[in-house]
Amino acid sequence: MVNRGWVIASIIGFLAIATFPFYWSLIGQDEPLPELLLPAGEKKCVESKQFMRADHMRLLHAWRTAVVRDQMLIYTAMDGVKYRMNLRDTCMGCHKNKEHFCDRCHEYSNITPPCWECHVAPPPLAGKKTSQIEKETSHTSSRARRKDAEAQSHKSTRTHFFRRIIHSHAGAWERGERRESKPLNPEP
Amino acid sequence: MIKRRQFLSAASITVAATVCGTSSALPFQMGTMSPGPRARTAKRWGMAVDMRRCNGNCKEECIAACHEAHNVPSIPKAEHEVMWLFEKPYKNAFPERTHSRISKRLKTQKFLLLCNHCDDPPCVRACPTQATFKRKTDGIVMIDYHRCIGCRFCMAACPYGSRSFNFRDPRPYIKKINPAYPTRRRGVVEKCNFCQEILVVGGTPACVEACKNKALIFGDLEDPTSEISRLLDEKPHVRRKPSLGTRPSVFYIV
Repeated sequence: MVNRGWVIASIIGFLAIATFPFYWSLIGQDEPLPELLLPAGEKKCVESKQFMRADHMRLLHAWRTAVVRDQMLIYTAMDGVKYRMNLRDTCMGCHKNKEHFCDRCHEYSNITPPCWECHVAPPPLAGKKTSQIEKETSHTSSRARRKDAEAQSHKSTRTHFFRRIIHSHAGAWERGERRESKPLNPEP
Repeated sequence: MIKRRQFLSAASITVAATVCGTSSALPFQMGTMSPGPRARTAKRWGMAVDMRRCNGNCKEECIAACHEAHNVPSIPKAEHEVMWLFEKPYKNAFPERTHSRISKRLKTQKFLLLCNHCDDPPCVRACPTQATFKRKTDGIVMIDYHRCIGCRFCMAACPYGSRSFNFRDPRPYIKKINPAYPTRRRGVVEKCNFCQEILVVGGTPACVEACKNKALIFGDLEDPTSEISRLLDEKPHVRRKPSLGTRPSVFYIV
C-alpha cells in the first residue's frame, strides 16, 4: 500500500473521532446528573420509577387523548390504585415545584416540552419569581457556572455568540421571556 | 486466512445477536382508563335561550362566568378579540329572518350567541387534522388544542361566526387566570365547548348557573322528559340559519 503509515493512522484517527460520543460518556468528565426535588411524604408515583423515567411522556400522551377525545377521567394504574387524569392536580399536586423537578432534567437534556404554554403551571416557591429562584438554587454544575460567568463578562467572541443561540434555556417561556408582551399580572 | 464471505457472515451474525440480545422486546404496558363516576351523559346536549327572560337588564354575568372559567382573554382590539359567548343584534343573529317590519323589541334586543354544536357541523368536515371533532357519545363539538394547527379552515366553514382565533398570546390579557383550566396559546382557534370539563364531573355549564334570570336551559335534547325537551315542545322557537342544514343544538325561544 502506498503511504501505509498515513493511511492506517488516519483510519484510526477517524474511528476515534467518529465513535467519540459512545466512549466519552464512559471515560470523560461529564456533567453531574441533575438533583431532583422529590415530594416529601410520598413514596410512590402513579407508576414505578423505571416506568416514569422511560415513559412518562407516553403516559401523558395517553392521558391527553383519553381526557380530551374520549371523555375519560379515571386512570387505574398497574398496581390497581385509581388517579384522576389531570396534569395540574394529580402530577403537579405532588411534584409541586416544576422548577425543581421537571425543569431540572429538561434543562439538562435541553428539551422544552410545550405543556406549560397552555396548562397553567403551579406557582413557584412562595414570594419569589421563577428567574430569581433559578439564580439562587440553580444547579452548581460547571456548565451553569460557566454560563453565568460568560453572561457577566459580556464576551462578544464568536464562540459565545453561537453558544447563546444554540443553548436555548428550557423554561424560558414559563419565565415570561420570549413572549410578545409582558404579563399584566404576575402568575397567581 | 479466512475468506471474505466467511468474515461477512460471521460479522453479521454477531451484530444481529448483539442487537437482539440488548433490545427489549416487551410491548408497552399501561393501566386502564374509565369515565368519572359523576359524569353527566346525554345523547345530545342542547341549550335553549329564552329571549323573553334574556332581556338585557343584567350585567352579562353569563359571559363573565364563561370567560372567567375558561381563561378567555379580553383583548381591546376588535379584530383580535376572542369570544366564547357574545351578544349581537337580531340582524346579525338571524340574517335569514330579518326584514323591515320586525318588532321594536327584536330591533333593540341583543341575542346571546355561542357555538351551536350542530348535528352536522361544517367545521368538523373542514378541519384537516381532526382537531375539531364531534363526540359520538353526546354530540358536543370539541377542539383538541394539542392538534390544532391554526389554519382557520373551521372559521371559514362555520356559518355562525362563533369561533375565534388567537392572534396573539392570550396570557397577558387574561385578568385572572383560573388554574383549574388551561389557557390556549397563540395560533389556535377556540370556541364554546358546552363546559365539557364541568359536565364530566357532574356540574352545570357556567353560563347556565350564572344567569340570574334563568334564561338559559341546558339539557338532553333526546330525552323527552328533560326540561329543555318539554320547553321546546311547548313554546315556539327558532334556530340560526336553518336553511343551511347544520341542525344546530341551540334554540331561541322568541
